[in-house]
Amino acid sequence: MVAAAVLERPKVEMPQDHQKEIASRIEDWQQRISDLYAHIAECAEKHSELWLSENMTAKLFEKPMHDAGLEPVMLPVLNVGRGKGLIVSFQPIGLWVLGANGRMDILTHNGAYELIDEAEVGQPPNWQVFAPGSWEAKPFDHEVVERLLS
Amino acid sequence: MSPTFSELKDLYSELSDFLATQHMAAVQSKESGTAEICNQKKIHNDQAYFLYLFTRLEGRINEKVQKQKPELKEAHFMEKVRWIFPQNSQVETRTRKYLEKRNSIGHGGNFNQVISMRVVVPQIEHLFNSIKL
Repeated sequence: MVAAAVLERPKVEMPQDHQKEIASRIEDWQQRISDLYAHIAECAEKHSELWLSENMTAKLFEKPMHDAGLEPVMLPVLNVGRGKGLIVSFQPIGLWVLGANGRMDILTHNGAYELIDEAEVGQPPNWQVFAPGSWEAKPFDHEVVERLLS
Repeated sequence: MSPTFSELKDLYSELSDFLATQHMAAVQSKESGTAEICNQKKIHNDQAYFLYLFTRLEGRINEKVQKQKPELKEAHFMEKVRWIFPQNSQVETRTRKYLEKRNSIGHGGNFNQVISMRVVVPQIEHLFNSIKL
């Protein structure tokens, strides 16, 4: 349980409820990322030549965690490749994001997509994606995933 | 000659893509340390452009107040915002969040402060353009 682990070493005096709230937000973010990766894996199933790997991690450590005396949490990165080549990498960037309820970057050889959750805190995710160089959000639907995996 | 919002957006995208290319190369080579450094560079680049663009908005608000409501010249920034956008709680809430983030980034810290630039930049641009001098 990551949430329990991060509560072990508080740096500053914080109300326990506040720490729990922050830890709960982190757990929710981990769940949203896990569900997103499961969706990508499902879409990748019909492309037998693709491999998926979660061997790399990205660090989550933001101001609310710091202020609550919580330790950094490592989140899985999802890499998808074909043969020896990497074709796309899903990178968790942040949770307490100005303008969104979480941000992932999707790295490709054609630039980075910005993937954000537009949903309110505690609501089911509403993933929206910005293509490289674009300022217009589009739903992160099956068509986008297929394009990324092709 | 100061760059326009459109030029700044293009510049941001160019740098952001460059950093993403570096990040992708580090991931491809399985260099976790380099990948984390690339990630930090992207976040710092976002912050730098956010500060740049928010300062533009701040300047526009101060200029309008100075010209049209000089008695508010020394007032708190949010009071000026409320005068320009009366009874627009969405603008007030949004601008207050920008201001808090600006101050928080300015104070620094060994933690990440992430911005969705693709969401926030067009919002700042829209606010800026809606303030007529």
